[in-house]
Amino acid sequence: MSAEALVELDRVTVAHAQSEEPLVSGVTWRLMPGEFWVITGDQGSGKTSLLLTMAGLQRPAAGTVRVRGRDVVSASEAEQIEWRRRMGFVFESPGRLLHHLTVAENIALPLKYHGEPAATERVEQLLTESGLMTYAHYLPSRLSPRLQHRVALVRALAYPTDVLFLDNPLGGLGPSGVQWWHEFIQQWRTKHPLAVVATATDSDEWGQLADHYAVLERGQFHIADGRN
Amino acid sequence: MATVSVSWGAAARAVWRGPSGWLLRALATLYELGAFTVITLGVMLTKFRRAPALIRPMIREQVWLAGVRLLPMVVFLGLVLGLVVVGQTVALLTRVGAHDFIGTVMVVVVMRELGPLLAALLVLARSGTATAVELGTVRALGEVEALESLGVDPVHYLVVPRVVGLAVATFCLTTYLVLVTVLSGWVFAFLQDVPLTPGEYFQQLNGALRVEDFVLLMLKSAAFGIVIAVVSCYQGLARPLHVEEVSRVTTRAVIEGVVGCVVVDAIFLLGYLLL
Repeated sequence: MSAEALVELDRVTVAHAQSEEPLVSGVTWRLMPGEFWVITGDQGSGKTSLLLTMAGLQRPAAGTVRVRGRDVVSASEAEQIEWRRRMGFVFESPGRLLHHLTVAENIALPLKYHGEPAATERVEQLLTESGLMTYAHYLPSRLSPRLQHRVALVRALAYPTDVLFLDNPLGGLGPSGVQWWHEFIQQWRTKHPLAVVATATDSDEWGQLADHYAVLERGQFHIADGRN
Repeated sequence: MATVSVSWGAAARAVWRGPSGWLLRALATLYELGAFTVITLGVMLTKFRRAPALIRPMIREQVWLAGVRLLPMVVFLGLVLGLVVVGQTVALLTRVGAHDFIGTVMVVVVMRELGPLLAALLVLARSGTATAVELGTVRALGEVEALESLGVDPVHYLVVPRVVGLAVATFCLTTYLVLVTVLSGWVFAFLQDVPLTPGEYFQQLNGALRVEDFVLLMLKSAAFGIVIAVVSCYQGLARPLHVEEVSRVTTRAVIEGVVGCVVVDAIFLLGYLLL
């Protein structure tokens, strides 16, 4: 018996969130547990909008997006919250941390909201694992965009998650920054089953970590490895 | 056909932006505010027991910020208001031999009208503007979308604590303001040699007060707090913003907050007249 797809897109058209102008059309794609996808494309090609649509955070202009077999448009609010609780989304740098909360409070937010009883211990553990403990009581404005983005990654993984969406996390990073992300994601995936979908400007950014590639070109979604 | 639809659209835009469009814009704002209020109430009821460990401290923080921290200012305003009301009325009432009505004037002017409105304006100036700026910044920085991605309802997390907190804070501040004004009113009357003992003064107050005054004071001041919170949150969150637009929505929150409080005041005035 084959595993259930985590996310499925069926002939989806993605439009710009504000202008509603179609960016990508005819996307048919599946995300299976444990896969690592990298989606590349030029600036303005619709990578972010497509990623938001895949994560169920933006409605498709046409077509169907199914999360664990449920259509996200017709899903109840409880189903949507449950799905969002079990996925992580890291926005483009600096990651949209809540500016009035400290690093530790930002990471604790999803845990406390969803009623995790051992939120404090979990936050301490995550901060230690990510090497961010020094900044636990800093407000985001005191951190560099690079560090804020790391905190956003830790926050996205705070609640037990099996899908992680990353919006161009390595864009503009130097070699040491790229290495930190590679090592952190790799270590996390050895301990926790995690499917990853990342956008990138260069398909080589994720090196050996990625196992599937897709390209956005002239409004079309091309799967580079031809699996789907 | 396309020409017709374009010209209709252009005509609608012209009316909307024209001098007579203010009524349409006001009605549209009223409709959106109503919808935002209904959504907030819906979230408040359906998520009443959700995340208490996170939401309750935020409500307490709002009561602290909008209520407790404004107490010194409220005491000062109460003292001044007592002086103003007594100073303006004592001479007139004594001239017509009606100084027995000082207590009644205090109840009518301070408890029913000026007290709640002044406390509300203070909360609007201090907390309404802060709320609009803070939530406008949250919106402009894309933090609302970040909350949604974490499965956190932005209305539940950002709006509900402010609505509850400001309603409680405004009621408490109004109560303190009325108490301080009533007490300072007697002190200033005493200083102006009005032949009025404390016993007589409080007897007058007691005679002028009705049970409905307490109920309506509570409802009215809480309603002011809700109006201020809803308007400020709506202006901050309702639509996508850029950081440079935050000051504009804050100004709109203040104007709409004042209008909202005055309208609520007028509705309660009808209530007083009917009772």
